[in-house]
Amino acid sequence: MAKVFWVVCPKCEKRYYVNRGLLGKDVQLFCPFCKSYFMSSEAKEIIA
Amino acid sequence: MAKDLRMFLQELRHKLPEEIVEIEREVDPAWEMGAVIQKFEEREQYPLLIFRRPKGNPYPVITNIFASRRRCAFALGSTPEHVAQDYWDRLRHPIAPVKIPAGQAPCKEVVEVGEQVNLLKFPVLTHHEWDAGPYLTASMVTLKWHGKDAYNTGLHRCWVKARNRMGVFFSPGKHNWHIHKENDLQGKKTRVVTWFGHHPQVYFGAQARGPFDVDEYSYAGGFTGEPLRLAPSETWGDEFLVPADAEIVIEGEILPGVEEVEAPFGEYTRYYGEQRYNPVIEVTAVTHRKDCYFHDLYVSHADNHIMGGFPLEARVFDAVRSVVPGVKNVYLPLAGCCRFWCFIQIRKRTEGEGKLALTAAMPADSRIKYFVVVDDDVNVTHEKEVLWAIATRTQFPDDLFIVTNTIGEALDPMAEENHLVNKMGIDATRPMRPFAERVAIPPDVLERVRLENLIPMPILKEIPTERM
Repeated sequence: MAKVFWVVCPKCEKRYYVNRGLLGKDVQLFCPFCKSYFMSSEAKEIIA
Repeated sequence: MAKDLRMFLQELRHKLPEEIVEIEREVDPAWEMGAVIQKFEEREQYPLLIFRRPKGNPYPVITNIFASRRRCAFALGSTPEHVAQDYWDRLRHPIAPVKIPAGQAPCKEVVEVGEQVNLLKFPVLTHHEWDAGPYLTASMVTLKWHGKDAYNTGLHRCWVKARNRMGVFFSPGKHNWHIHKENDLQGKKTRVVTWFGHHPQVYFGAQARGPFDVDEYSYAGGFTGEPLRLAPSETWGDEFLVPADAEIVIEGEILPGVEEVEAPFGEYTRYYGEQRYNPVIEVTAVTHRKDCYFHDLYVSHADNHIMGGFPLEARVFDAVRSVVPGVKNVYLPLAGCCRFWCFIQIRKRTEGEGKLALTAAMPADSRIKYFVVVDDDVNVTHEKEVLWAIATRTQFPDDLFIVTNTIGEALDPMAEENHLVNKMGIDATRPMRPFAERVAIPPDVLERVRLENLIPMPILKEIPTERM
């Protein structure tokens, strides 16, 4: 899936994917598992 | 009486009562209702479901209305074999809506505005594990064309984020996306009405995709055979009318330049759509019937697939008919989420008509990827039959063609960032030259021989079925 990159939530450490257009931008993201907001720069890991 | 969801339920209870399952025990709108649907699907059963006691909520949930092709055809006043033709015929005869006073509108038995608004009071379902939260999915989102007294309606998911705030996704290129985009560029608010819980015919009409600027409330009328009743909105009065016979209506505005994080969300593709930034609706009013049904459309499952497939079948049917008058039927199977695969049945009269049908069908809708044309002796609604025709009536590469890098579906997980996909057409019709004949039992013998006359019914019922 070339359109996405994966992020790892800094709080619950579960991972999900985000639109690739947001890659490299420091934007607010939302973890669907623990329902917390975080900045993409705070992600535990980004897998592009 | 105007057609509405209740009239449809009454008719269904009267004529096809076995199609409805009512569940009286408490079920959680978060995932549990979806688990019930999935368990039924595993048994190849697709009943309309009414959950009388959603956990922690007084409003019953109605879902899976569109999950059965037989039931959808019944709702349309058609048959499963003639949906494409009948859908197209209804689309060609729109009926303009009528306005009624707000006091006569059933959707306004309860009116909540401003601080009274609370979307959290409804049993909004969370559908799949990764979903960002509870989503409205049977939500017909209506916007108004610029400078016109014409409305555009489309089925768009809405994430209920707070008492008066929803995220909404307009798929790029769709009409509502264009209307909002133009407002956004001009720094203007976009007025939005989200309504749900109506007669299935209204849904079929309202989701039809017509040309730009056409009033799609009129399409709904074309499908019901009567003008859609509209009432003034609470927020804008006569300047924006809402469907009077819906169960629930939500009014709101999208602020220009405001986007928030939205999704992931389980899409019709049976994959999660990725998180992205999307517009937000600030809700100004909610109106509903006192004893409203909360209508859910179970996305990623048959409920979502079959409903969305009907208009595509109609569009392909019309496109092919313009060049191949012998087109008999068009069918989009569940195996392709009723979007990606398209089977076309024709009565072939001359060599080349199979490929002609394919070239006509391909531009009909960007979402369809793979097209197969078969003869009229092949049951186009049975994948096994279509696969048999491909296996025995094609010689690749002669009967196959591929178009590369054409516009596809944004939600297709294989599409590139600019939505480009490759499309394929297969001509699985028999060559016109002398060709092998398929085996058959003489029809009169098939008619005469009845298993129930040869084998006692208790034994017949006990013989196991096997899916092969």
